[in-house]
Amino acid sequence: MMTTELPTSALRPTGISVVGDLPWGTHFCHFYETKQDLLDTLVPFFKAGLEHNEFCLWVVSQPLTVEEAKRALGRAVADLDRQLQEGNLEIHSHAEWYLQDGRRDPRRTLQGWREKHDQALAKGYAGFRASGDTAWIQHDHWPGFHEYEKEVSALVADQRGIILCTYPLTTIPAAQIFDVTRVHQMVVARRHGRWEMLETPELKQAKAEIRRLNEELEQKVEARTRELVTAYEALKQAEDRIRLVIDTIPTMAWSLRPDGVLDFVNQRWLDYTGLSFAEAMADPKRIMHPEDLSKTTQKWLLNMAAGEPHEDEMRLRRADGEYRWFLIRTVPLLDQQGNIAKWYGTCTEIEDRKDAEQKLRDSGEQLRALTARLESLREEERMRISREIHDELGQRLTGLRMDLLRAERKLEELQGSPAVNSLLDTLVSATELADGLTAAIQEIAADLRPGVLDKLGLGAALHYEGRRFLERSGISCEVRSPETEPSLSAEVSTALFRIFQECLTNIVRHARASRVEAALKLEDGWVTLRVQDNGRGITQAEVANAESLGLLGMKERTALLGGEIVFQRDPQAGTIVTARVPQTRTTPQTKAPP
Amino acid sequence: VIRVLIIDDHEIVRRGLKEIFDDEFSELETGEAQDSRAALELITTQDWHIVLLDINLPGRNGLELLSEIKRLRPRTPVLMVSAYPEEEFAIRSLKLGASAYLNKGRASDELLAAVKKVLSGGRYVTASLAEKLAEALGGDFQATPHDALSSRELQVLGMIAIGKTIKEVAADLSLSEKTVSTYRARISKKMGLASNVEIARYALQHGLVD
Repeated sequence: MMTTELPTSALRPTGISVVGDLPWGTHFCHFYETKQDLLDTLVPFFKAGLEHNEFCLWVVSQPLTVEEAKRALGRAVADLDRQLQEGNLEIHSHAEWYLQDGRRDPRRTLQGWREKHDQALAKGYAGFRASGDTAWIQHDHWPGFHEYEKEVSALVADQRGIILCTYPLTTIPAAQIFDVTRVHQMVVARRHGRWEMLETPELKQAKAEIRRLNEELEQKVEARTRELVTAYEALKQAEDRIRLVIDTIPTMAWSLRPDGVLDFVNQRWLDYTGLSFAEAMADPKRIMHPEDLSKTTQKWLLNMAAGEPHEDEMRLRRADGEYRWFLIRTVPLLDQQGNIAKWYGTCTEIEDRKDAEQKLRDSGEQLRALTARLESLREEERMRISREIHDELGQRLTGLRMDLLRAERKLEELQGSPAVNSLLDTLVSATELADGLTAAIQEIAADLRPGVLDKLGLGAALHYEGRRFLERSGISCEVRSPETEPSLSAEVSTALFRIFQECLTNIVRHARASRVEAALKLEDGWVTLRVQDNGRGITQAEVANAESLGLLGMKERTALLGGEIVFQRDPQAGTIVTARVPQTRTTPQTKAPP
Repeated sequence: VIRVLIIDDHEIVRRGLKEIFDDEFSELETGEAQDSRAALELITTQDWHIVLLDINLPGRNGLELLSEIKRLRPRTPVLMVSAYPEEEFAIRSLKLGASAYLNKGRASDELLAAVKKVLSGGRYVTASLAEKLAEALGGDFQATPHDALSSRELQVLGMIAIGKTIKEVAADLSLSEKTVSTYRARISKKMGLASNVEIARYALQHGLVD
């Protein structure tokens, strides 16, 4: 079945046995002796045309009539009526076709051929097949015939058309037979049931060329096929080698089709999972940990859709049932057009790394708990020693001083005697010594942990510490706290008090400030301590400095209580430290001092 | 007869305080308690002219006990005697209704001055605290500073006020210069007077010198 898509050089069956196939664009002629000779040629010619979806135009001339032509063709083509009805075939008398008002008009006739040809192609026929007869021409009126036939040749050249001109041998003069032969590409003669054929040199040459081209094409196809077979075999060998290599590497590896369906896993994969190749192909996800499945699948689908390399961590089940952590990498292999041809995946076991990470986290938490415990123990110890010094040492020293002062008074009453006065000198000196001692141990006790903090509360302790700070550093320190002492746990009080002390220490060391303002506030169940100075201001680098143990300690203290601490540089000047912790919170790790 | 209740958990302190009262008052009855429970027992069962109370007590601390005493016996003056020098304690005590706040170490003359002032219905704090407390509490705590001086210290004040040097005072009293310097320092501290000029002006104003 021929279609319109075929190139113009495609061969068309003529239906004429002796001619066989002819290319589009052929303009050939036929000589006949009898009416039957004419029908022997044209009936198969048009039958072939109709069978191959060509638009057929048959212009009949004496001795044939339109009716005779239809009858003859009807015997060969069963559905001729339908063909005529659908317009696949038109049969015209020469008078209709060649004459205009009884006069020849070659220009109009040529125009007619051209229009029929163009219409046929426009309507979707494979091409155009026509036959005309010039038997009606009075052969003494021949002038211009030669040019006319040349025009017809030009009309079908390079087009999808075949035109067959028929000539009656009986009426045409011998000289004109040569002329007719010259202007057609080929001549077929039918005389009394026998065929004869004459070919023009051009046609012979064209046929030879086609044969040559066909042979060349076949050779090329053969060579190309050989190349492809060789390349395919080489590729297969290479793939076999790669698979062998992949099978021997100690890493699990696999490949996936562009749509993500697994199509290969290596031996190591099978060894680790204990699955057969078929089991692996059927359901590779069975080795993934159920907890990882949805998260990792989601991530893979996203990367696959985007055609991007994929990386993930997941647990895969070993043959013995134990899950171990793996780092998965899957990368796309692109073809020359940039489409994904394949995905290749490998994975590395990271169980040890995961284990180490967990241990690091654990040890970090333990360290934090230990630090908190140590800090709380240290605080308890400070409190105990501070009390011991204050209560035991301090009170006894107080008793001693009372005794000494009383002795002084008694001696003063015994005025006069030099011996007594000398004793008085000694006694006053001893009292002074006891005085100094008392002041020293009160200072030590307060340094360890001021009694104000435990006896009066955080607000009073901040005021007290602020005053001591002024006495020591000369930097003024204004403290504001709620009118009534807020009820806070010992942990919260201690933490905020120590943070306040740390702030003051930092201010003396780094801030170059002349004034400090501190405020303790209670709001919505949160206790906030804000300490601001008018110094040079803390820098981002100082805040970020991991080696700054003081800041780290403050952060730890607030974090332990479920709070937070912020170090800021004031837009004007100075540093603002804001610590914020929940008012009531007891952590299980730290025991509150009694 | 003056009835004094001493509440302190240290025996040596209770004895010291008691001796100071013994030396001063001929007719004296003292009660002693070493914790809040015993103290409340004595407070509710007996009448006292004055209560001496330590802040640092086992069990409920002295400040809580102070509130309780003032609730039970609002008219009984309570004199806080503490080893804590911090003014925060003084402020809290006075807010809770104490009549005086004394540093234990300074007892003796100051204690007696305070007791006399409290018994006459006033409130007492040391001169150094008076100004700060006025700021914090807004009341009048002005004591007569020289009440807290011993007779020997008063004597030295008079001599300094008339322009005598430490050396001259030492010679007059047959004491070492070091002892006189100590007296001089105690006077300054008890009265809040820094210079000799201030001491002289005070002595003149209060008729302590001729």
